[in-house]
Amino acid sequence: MAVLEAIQVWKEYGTAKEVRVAALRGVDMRVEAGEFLAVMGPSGCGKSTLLHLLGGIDTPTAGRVLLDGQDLGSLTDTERSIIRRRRLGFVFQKMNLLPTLTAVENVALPLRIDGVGRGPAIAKAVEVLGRVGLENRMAQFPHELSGGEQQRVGIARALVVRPAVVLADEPTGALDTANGQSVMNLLRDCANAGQTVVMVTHDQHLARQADRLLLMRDGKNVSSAAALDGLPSTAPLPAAGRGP
Amino acid sequence: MNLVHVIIRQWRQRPARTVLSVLSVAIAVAAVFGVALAQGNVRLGYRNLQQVVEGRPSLEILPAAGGRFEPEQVPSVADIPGVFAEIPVVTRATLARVRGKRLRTVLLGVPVERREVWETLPIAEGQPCRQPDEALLAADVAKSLDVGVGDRVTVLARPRPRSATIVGLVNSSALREFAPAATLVLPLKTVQELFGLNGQVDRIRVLIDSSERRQQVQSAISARLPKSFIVQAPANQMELADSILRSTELALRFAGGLTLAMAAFIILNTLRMNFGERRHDVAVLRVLGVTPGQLARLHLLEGTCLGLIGSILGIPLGVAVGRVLGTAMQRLVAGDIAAAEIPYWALPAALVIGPSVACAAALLPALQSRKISPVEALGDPEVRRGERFPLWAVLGGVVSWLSTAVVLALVVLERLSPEAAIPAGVLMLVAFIAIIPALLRPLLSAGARLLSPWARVEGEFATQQLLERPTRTGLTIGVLVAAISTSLGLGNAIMSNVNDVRAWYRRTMAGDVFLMGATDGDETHEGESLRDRIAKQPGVDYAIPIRNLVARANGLPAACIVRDFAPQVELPWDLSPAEEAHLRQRLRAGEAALGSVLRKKLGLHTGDTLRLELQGRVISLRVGGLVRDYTLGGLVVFLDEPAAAKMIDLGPPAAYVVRAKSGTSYESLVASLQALAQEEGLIVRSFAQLRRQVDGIINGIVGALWGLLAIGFVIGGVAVGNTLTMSVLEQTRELGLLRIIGMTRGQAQKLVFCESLLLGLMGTLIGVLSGLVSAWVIHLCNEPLMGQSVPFALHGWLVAANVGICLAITLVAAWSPGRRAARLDLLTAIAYE
Repeated sequence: MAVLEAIQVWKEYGTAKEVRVAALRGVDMRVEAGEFLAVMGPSGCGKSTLLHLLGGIDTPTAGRVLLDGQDLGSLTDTERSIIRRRRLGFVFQKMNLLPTLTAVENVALPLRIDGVGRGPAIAKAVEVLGRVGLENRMAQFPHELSGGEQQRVGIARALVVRPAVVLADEPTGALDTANGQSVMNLLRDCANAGQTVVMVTHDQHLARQADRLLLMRDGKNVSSAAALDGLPSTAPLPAAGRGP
Repeated sequence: MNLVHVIIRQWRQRPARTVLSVLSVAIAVAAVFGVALAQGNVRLGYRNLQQVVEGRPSLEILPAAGGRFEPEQVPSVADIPGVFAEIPVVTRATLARVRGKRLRTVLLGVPVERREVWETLPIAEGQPCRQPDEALLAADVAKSLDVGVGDRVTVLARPRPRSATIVGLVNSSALREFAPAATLVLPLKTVQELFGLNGQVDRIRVLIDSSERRQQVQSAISARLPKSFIVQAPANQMELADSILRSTELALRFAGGLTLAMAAFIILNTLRMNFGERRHDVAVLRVLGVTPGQLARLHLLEGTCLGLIGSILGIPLGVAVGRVLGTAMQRLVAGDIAAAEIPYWALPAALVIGPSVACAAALLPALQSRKISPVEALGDPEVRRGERFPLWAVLGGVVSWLSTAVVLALVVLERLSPEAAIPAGVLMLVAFIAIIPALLRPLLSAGARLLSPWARVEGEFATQQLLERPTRTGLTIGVLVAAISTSLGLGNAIMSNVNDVRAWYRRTMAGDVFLMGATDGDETHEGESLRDRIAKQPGVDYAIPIRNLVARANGLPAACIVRDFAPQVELPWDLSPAEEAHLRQRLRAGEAALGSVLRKKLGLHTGDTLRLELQGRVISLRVGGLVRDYTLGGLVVFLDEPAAAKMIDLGPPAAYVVRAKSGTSYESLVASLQALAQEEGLIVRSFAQLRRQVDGIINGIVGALWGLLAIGFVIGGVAVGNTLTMSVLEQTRELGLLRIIGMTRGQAQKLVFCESLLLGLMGTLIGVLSGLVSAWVIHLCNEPLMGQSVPFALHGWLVAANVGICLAITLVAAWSPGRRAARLDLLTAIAYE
């Protein structure tokens, strides 16, 4: 069953006709529950825009984005906020941790926003940080953590509410190879645990670790075979399937 | 500087931030300007009040041994700064006739050829008297007697009467500047001829510019006079204390100092935020090779430019604020008072002060910018942590606070001049504000707990945000603290003083009308005294004669008021029934009641002996009681009439205070007294009219003071609004992130409201405490300043109003930043740096 679905999604920026730019031009896609999807394509092809629409951060100019069959565009801003807080988890390239909060407080943030008491929220955050291997770095502030550790905190924050879908935008873009692979393993674990993961990346090597690949060009999704022809690929993609 | 274009580009890039910075300077300058105008209005109000009840501030030179003298015996004092004019005068109680009606009057002889006389004696109708046989009559007397310009008045002087034509009518309150009971004016030479004075005068009246300078001028004149002459304040019947005016002046200067400090806080805070937000840009400039010195100069230049633009905008705003306050005050007193003019020095001063304060405020960020490392430009914005408030600033604040507390203690103990209390008070508050950041964590945590039932998460986030920027938070709270301290401390003290003066004034004017005019003593008519005859008129409850005598108490010039303290006559002092009964008993026994200022100056206590020089005699009196009275600034001795009559020749009463029976209207009382007054040549005057006038002016003063304090709150509101807007701008990325991970628009707005409310709560809590301390310190300083202290009374409604207004203003200030936070575009927000 499709957890997340985009139907003929268009996104245009600018109001006047002459300055209007279409970032997405009728994208169709669907992601099944527990699937790990990588979205690839050249810069400016609309990958991040698609991710923002899938996450309800932005709304499409035309078309529909369905989460568990519910059209995100038909919801109010508050309803979308509540869905983001309970059903979705975000991982950013720039981590976007709050500098004034410790690692554990950053992770507890979505629960606290949802009204969970400080004690239970921190307990849950401690548990999730333990899962990402940061049990000894919980009281550190972001500037006291390495880039890899910061990103693991970011992933922990995305996972703390046990979201149905994890949306990751270039999650390894600011990391070295070892840390990048560590982050990929965490995302794979999520998928293995039944959570849906949608990851935007430039890196073919990382994309090959996903269950399925969505290639984009000029605001449209293109078929895998056609897309692969245009990519400067150096290694074959693995067969679609689960597990590393 | 070739980096100026960088400033301009940054202004254009962030127009909201630039507008906020300029607006802050403009409002700060406008506040200082508006406060200066409001101060002018309050001063003007007090002077009007004083002139209504006392006349133009003046001194008089007279022989130490009493009697007349030739004016040439006294060296001129006209060149002493603060002296407006010196006018030799003669006054004589006499009887006159106009259109066949008797007039008991005090005749005033003035040198009619002197221009200054007519500058201070405005003619209501007709023209000044210039010729020997021309006279002026008090306008209210003319109305009372139904006579006017052109009528002949005959002065029944011995050995022969002399007639003169009334050529003009003069306002009686202006006449009071020369002699309290004067109603008829003749040329000085005419009066000297009439009474055979051979060119001699009674005294020289010295009119001075302002009562605040009275002591200074008095000292200068005294130093110039021969030993046989003295200079003293005239013992007018209803004189308000100079010390009250001095006290008010000091209070206004204190308010002005605090406003300036608040304005400086706002500008400092705004510029710190403005520069702080561009830390990354500054680091990039450092990477590109800009030296720390260039950066510092750039910031100073920017501060000065913002200050200049803000000042140019702030001046008209300040003029508008001042005009509104002036108009409000005029309305309050029904046009009896002129609004203060804008002082000529204010415009250039504002153009210098505004940019100077802004430049000084830019100094701190400029120095801080020197420390910004180029490495910061290479790091991600999110790894930057909040600032730490320097410990030295807190310690400096504690040391300064203790030092100023010592200075204030020395003022209270009269080891230092009361003038020292102003800078000490302002510095004390500034020092206290420097300590605030050290108190923030526990206070904000407590505040967040208070908000938790309504906004638990938002309250916690707001607390974290405020703690992250302790200097900014401290300065913003500081502005609110300054506003509340000024309002509460000063307001409480001024309300207490004004209420006390008003209550005293009302008790002093216990009668409904008074009959004025020189009488030949309480003469009998067909076996009845004048007092009894007045008391027998329909509607009259009682009449008491009042005598106001010039005296010296233990060598110090003082007024001696002789009146009846019979049980049915209300006392002008606020005493308990037991104290009142005791005092009446002591007065009736021939003892004296001393004004508390006189008591303090003489160092006397109840039971001590007072040496009173009066009517050329010296009498020793036991001090029977002490009273808080404002007549002649409290330099007053009260005697009971029957007891005093046994010791000295009292002479004629200056006036009779008449109290109406309950249910009698003013009109019917005046009607019943009119016939007797005309027959005896007395003038009927209304207390109610004078009371209304005084009340109106007091209301005006209080209104202007409220305006003054309102400005403080407006500044506080702007400070909070500015901080929040800057805070929202600075938190754009974080707010965007919070929204992305599920915070609703409402929660984002609530977060900003929580920040504002926490600032308001902290400002209110610390401000109320600080205001109460200020009120108490001002109360303690009253004793050395005025010689007497109004009992400390806390006006609960004032505290409640301050708390309510402060919280309301902080919530209003949060409205716009809150909406901005709620409406943030998420994608733009997370891309914001």
